[in-house]
Amino acid sequence: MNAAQALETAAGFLKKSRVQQWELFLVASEQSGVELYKRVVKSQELTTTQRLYLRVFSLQRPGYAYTENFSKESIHDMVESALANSELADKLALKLAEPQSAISAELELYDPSLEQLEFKTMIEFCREMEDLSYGLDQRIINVPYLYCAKSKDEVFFQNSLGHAYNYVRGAVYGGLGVLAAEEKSRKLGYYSTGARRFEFDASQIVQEAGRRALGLLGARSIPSGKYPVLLRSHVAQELLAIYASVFFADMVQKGKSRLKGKLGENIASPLFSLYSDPHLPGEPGSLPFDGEGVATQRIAVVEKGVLLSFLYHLESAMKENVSPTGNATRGANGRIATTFMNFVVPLGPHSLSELQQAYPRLVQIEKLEGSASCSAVSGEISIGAQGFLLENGQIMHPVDQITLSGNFFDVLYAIEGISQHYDNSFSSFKVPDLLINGFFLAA
Amino acid sequence: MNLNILTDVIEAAQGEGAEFSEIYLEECRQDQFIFQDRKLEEASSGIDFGIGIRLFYGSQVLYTYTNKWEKDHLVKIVRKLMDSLPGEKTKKTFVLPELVENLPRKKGALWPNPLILDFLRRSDEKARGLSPRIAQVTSTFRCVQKDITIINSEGLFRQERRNYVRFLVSVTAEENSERFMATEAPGFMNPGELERLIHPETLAQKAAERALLMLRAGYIPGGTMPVILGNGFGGVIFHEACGHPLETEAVRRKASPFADKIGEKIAHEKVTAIDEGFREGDYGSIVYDDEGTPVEKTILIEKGVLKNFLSDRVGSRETGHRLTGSARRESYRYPPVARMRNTYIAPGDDSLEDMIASVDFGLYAKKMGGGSVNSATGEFNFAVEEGYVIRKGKIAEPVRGATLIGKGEEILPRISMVGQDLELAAGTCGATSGLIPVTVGQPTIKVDAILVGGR
Repeated sequence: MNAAQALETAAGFLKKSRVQQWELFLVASEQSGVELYKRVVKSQELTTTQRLYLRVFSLQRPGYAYTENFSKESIHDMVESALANSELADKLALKLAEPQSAISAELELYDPSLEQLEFKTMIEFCREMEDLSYGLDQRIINVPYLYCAKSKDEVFFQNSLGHAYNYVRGAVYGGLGVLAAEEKSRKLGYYSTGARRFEFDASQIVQEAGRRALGLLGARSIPSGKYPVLLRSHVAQELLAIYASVFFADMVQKGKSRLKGKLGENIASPLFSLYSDPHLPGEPGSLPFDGEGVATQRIAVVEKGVLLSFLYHLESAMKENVSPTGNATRGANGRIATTFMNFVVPLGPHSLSELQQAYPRLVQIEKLEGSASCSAVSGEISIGAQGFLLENGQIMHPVDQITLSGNFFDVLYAIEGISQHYDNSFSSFKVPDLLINGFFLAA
Repeated sequence: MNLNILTDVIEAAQGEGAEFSEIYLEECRQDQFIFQDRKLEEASSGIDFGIGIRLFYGSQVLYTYTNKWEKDHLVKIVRKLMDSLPGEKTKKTFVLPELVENLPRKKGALWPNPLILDFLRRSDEKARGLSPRIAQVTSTFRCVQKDITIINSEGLFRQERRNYVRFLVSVTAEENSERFMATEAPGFMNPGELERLIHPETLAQKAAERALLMLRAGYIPGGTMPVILGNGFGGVIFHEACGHPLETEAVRRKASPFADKIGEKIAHEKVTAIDEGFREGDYGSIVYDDEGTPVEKTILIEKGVLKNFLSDRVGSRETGHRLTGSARRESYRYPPVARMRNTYIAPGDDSLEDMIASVDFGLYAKKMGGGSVNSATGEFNFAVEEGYVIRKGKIAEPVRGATLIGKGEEILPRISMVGQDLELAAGTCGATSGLIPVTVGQPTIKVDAILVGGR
């Protein structure tokens, strides 16, 4: 049974059932990719998968189910399971999305040229990256991770109110991890990127992975204390991603965000603004509709330090009697959650060099390690880090064995400079280099 | 489905030149119930269904997976994969297994709904009743029934039904805009009576008391110091920092600091570490691994000496180390690789009192949070969920936000005391082949020096 037949079968069962409202969401995916080690293809994958999600409301009670088995029997079981689950849940007087139009602009979600990208080309590209890695520096002793892959997702949505849409999105990814060694010091530099079409610069990818490994060789600790910190763009993205949920209305409503009651107030440095922007052409977080069928829109979350809006899905919007912002997403089991559709901190006025010279002494962070001691609920930041000690803008030596400590809600106020540069790694988090004077470094 | 289709696919793959073919068929029912905001917020069910086909050709491993089980489709994708390889391919010999279906289909909910709802409500009521400072309670009951069938071109046929249950209680305490969330999360494999294993009030009380305690806790000054690591989930450090580099997945890529050290002393002589494939009821247990190999109890380190790596078929082929029944994967979406199962440091003969008394200034990390490791360099990073300062041989004030940082190979020789109080705890491990249930464990141990990130 293909995707259209599965949707039709499920809709047929639902129309005959006692369900008042229902919503079907289907993702059919194709992926292929290769992994190499020492020029040899170690793994070659080719996959086709499909999953059908269902949410029903029976007597206003929600029930969820999904299936990957597209037999008539399994789809019927899915409908029965969702109904059984709805009998357990508490009431939720939610109205599903009415038929609506999405933005007409071209989001560049899929480039048909990906159809022509074959294993052979991906293998050659990996070999090129590997050769360039060993040629980059004698201290690169191993390339344990090396891959290229492409993916294509077809998404179908329909609900009991007659709202239906579908779209296709796809991307190609490539990257590597290089292991550098010098005396007893070993550092792994990892860099991976993606794009809608296969136009990678192997040299640029290898240079960045190499820089991340080689630069940190011979790293040592520094005395504990308060330091101004320059978070490189890729690190700033990683750190802010841990705390993105503090801007979600459902988290605020559940007491899991300290921003409760702060709308309209200053919550950050006046230099800091933040948008959820689903309409950036070609970016990985761009979509015409969210996971509940609501048309997406650009949302100003923070402007010049003032908190302007939270992000809503249908349920969190209903609770506050506001319009949904089109930020619903579906988890692996179909559960509705909130997400940024591209988390965008606008570029600032400064060059990297200007930020590096902002203090006579600062620590530039190049790598974070683990996030288990970080909590979006408390805002606690305690995370391993590596980077460089800079004096008057010059690198003195690489640094490791340090932890970056602070509180996210204090750190937002302590942003003192923003660069003109985003890391080019095909991330839905776009955050420039950030100069922050509010961390404690423990060593 | 008709299992004979699978042997047809093996035959087709060997006919296309594959030297070894293996099929992993999975049907998995998952139910999840989330109680939050004093109500049942979500009741969901799902069926994961798919087929993973792995082919060996020379040193290459080809993998494909799909949810479509029609024979024509499966044979087509096998041919497409083999066609992508250079050179002329000749038909390879194979042995087809005899197939006897022994996993009867089971429909409907895995556990009685009234029992689950009772667990969820009781944990919520208990936590909220302890203090007005409890701002939120999120209780989750998650259960999985996974039926797997493995066949290969060497005539192997295995079927196994694995049942998993996890009960998570997260409690958030709030005061003056400060918040702290603490979690208890026991997990079980093939549990018998749930009422005997899950005590909702006890779990809720533990999580709530920790959240309330840590809400008012201060911070430890950062620096290198002796650390006493609590038993049970404290074993997550050994799992991450030492266990992962002992998997042939890291060894075969020369991405492990222990790659060439079998037979060498890599830890203090008080350290014996084990990875056990099956322990009755423990969350990381399996009977056969995901390649169909029977599991074993693997001694990793014995009295400080490195004895074995954990090996799957690919790892064994590339490193020469024997199979240990350690091939694991989250689902049919991942080819299997060597992963840990129930991993723990064996008990010693030291007491907690002696350990604490031996420290002038340090940290007692009574309950660990999660963490991660870079296998290639051994660098690790862990959260301490419940910590106490040790001052002049006595446990002093509680501290929050502490992080432990170091390298596995440097920490192992510094484990100088090992307690008698071995406990194991459930966890979820994420690595190359996805998220899998594991058990970590240890008695209380003393590490003479670790970098503690504080303020």
